[in-house]
Amino acid sequence: MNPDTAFLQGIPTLGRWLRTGKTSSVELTRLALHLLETRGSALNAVAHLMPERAISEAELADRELKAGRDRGPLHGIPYGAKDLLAAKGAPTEWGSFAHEGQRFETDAAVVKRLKQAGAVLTAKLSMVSLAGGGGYRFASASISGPGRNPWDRERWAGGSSSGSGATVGGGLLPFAIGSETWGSIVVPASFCGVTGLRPTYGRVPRTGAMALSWTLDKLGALARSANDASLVLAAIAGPDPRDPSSVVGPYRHPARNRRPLRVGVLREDFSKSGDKEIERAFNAALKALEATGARLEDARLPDLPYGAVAGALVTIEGRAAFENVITGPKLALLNDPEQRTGLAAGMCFTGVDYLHAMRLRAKCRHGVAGVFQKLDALVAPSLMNVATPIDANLDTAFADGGGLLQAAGNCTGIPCLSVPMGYGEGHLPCGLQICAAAGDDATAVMLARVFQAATRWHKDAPPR
Amino acid sequence: MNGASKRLTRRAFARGAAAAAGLAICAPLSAEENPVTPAKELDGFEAALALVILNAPHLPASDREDLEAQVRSTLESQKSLRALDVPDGTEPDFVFRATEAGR
Repeated sequence: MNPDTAFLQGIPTLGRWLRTGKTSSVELTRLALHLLETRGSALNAVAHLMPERAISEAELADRELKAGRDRGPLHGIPYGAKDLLAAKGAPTEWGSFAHEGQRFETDAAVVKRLKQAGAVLTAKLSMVSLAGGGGYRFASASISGPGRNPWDRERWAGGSSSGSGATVGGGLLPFAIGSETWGSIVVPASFCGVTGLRPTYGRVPRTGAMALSWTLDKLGALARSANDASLVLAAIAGPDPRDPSSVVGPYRHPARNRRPLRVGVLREDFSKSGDKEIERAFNAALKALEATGARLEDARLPDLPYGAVAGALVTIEGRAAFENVITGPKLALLNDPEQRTGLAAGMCFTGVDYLHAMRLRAKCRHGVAGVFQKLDALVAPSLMNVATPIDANLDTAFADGGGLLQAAGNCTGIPCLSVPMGYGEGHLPCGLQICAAAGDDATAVMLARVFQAATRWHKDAPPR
Repeated sequence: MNGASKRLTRRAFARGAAAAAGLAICAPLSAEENPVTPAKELDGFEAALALVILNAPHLPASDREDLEAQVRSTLESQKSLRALDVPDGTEPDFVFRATEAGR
């Protein structure tokens, strides 16, 4: 087993190695812990290593496999969890100086489900402070330091699931759990050259996860391929009575697609801004999709205020979620002035504004659902730029808020994958966004798998 | 700036805010005045800034400039949001569900 490439192989290959005795879960786990401690630390990707718990879970996985008990495709596979998920055995600091040393002696629902599936938790992974609630100006807005990109350490890994993107992108773990309120899976997936799967809102319970925005937060996987991300989703999806939003039914890893999918193409305007190499990569990705038999047509989203609505909701809900921090002395501990003042300024909105936004949201949801009556999926570039310099002012770099499909997708809770589609400026990765109707995560996964069967971008790794 | 002067600045900052908030919220009205009209023409920005400061009393004094920018930007977002029309009869998604099946 080559330690540099082991975790680039994909979950089914690792599973085969475990079942044929080529390796053991303990060996894979020791490798993951070593890689995280050395390369992961250099990327500021690790919040807390969990060696004792990891080895104990790995030993159990090995014992069970030997005894003929197989928990499925994730059995014995090491992974990491964004540090907004509670887990026994390590602090859960939410990336925030205001929550240094915070511990929960319970596992988040997702961590419990992954344990049930036999996966091995090796580390809590770094994140932007409070998942970026209130906004932030610099990548350094994290108790772990700025999340560095495995493709170029002087670039940002993206946020807020920085450690999840960097560890999977750098081949330090086969998969990681991240979260997205608005862009926090798609952005690190695109910047780090990995596949990110943001499920339908309500598909995965957030029990035991930090709340930034109760009506926008989603948990999902960052992995080496759409197939791997889907295997993880199948393990963590399904209702949980302790999260009333988790009402979307269980997810089944889809079988092979047998009919041509109708795909709407959303074109971004690269004439005034954005990376022209990403535009070229997007056009090449469309050709690759068309060659698989997908039926492409230009599409438009109804002209609705997705960004204004999602922006108001995340501001108001974030103001409420962090009320005790904002009104107390710990606010001053947050190290990014924009985050401190952004959280505080949420007070400007009123209850009437919140309900107005929720009424507009109903309109947005119906509008986007209408698009999917004629189309199976929508595609767009994940972002118009590659990873930003590590010290860039993110107000400037993300002036467009990440594009229309990100705003609409998060506002309406539809599923999305970001899959690698080539390279932009400086040979840095860029991503293709694939979205489907709310609840139809399987179609988005199928299209992403078809694309990855026809391309090799997702198999690339940063040069050593 | 040392700790003591930071604390003093912070207190002065909060006092100014409280004064502005008092003006905004408790301006006395005489019997001759229309009770639904404020006694003094209020500056929406000043009132909002005061409200924010009163509810975040531990913001470092050095955040003043950032805070003013954030309040202005949030008020702009609020204005844009309120300008968006919602047809009569549209109910809010009280508990948001992305799918009809989940409702």
